[in-house]
Amino acid sequence: MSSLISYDKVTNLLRKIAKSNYWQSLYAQSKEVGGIQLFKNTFDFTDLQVEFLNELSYYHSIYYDIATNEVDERVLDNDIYTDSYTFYKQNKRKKDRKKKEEEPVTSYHKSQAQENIVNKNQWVFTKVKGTNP
Amino acid sequence: MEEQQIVEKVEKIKKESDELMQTDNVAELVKNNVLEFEYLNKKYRINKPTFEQKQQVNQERMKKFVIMLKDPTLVMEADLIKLYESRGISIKELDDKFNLLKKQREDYAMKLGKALEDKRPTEELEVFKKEIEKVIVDQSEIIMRKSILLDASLESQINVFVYTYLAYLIAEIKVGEEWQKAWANYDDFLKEDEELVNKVVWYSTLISKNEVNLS
Repeated sequence: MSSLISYDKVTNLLRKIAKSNYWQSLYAQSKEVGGIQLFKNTFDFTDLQVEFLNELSYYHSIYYDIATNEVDERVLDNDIYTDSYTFYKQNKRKKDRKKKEEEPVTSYHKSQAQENIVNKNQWVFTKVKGTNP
Repeated sequence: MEEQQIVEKVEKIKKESDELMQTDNVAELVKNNVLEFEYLNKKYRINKPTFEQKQQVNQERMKKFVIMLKDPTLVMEADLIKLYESRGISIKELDDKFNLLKKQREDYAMKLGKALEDKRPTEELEVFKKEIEKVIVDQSEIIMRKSILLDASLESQINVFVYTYLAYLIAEIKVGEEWQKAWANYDDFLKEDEELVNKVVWYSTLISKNEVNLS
């Protein structure tokens, strides 16, 4: 590196690199195909490398949302859009989860749950019985 | 094309080329846990600190802390905050302001996120973005002010020492085909060319961020 840049700038550029088609495609391939190495070192990662992996995963999920039409490409126009969308999505998910937890268990839900347990057990025992010589 | 336009165009190209170079440099930095650079035709290398090196830095940090504690000219952060309080400067007030801004930023982020999900017109998105930008500026000012105010604290001085000492420990120089410790001792390192010291400390900070205990 020829001239010293601020840490904020490094973080900023790290995001820019993680967002790029090159790194996104490499990341997606490395998840599916074994043997693709993202870094020269295979262990003992620096904090910056871990941060970069987080950014890769972060943008991977944004690209997924674009592909499934949950949001349009403008979300990638700038970091404020991207971060706000992610923040909103995380909070929405949290609220939905909380709502589900607080939902009263109705008799229908109870019977469904019991049915599921019985079905699972049946499957386990039938399988074991059936396979015994 | 007028002269002013040419100057602006050249500046724009220079800015873009700088940005590209910086992007390449950061991409290079992230590819490995070792960073090599040249300074005055000599090759230097910064390695991720080993367990022993981190232990050594920790021991030096404790030694330095005790020495600094005995120095009557140095003040602990808590005492410095009280001193500011007596002069009418409240650090707590700065923290409260910062948290209030954080809440504001989150509220705007929720609105902007929803607007993005609902695919609202760009003009609408921009209104929230501008509000967030204003909040970011205000937050940055608070961070800067707090950092300047507490810079004189003993804890802050210790942190500077920790990163400088670690840089000295993990820097290597290439002699022939071999990598050797760049400086025989810490004092030699401090006597080195200031530009080189700054480079080594900065690169070391990038490679070893969050690796050592700070105050």
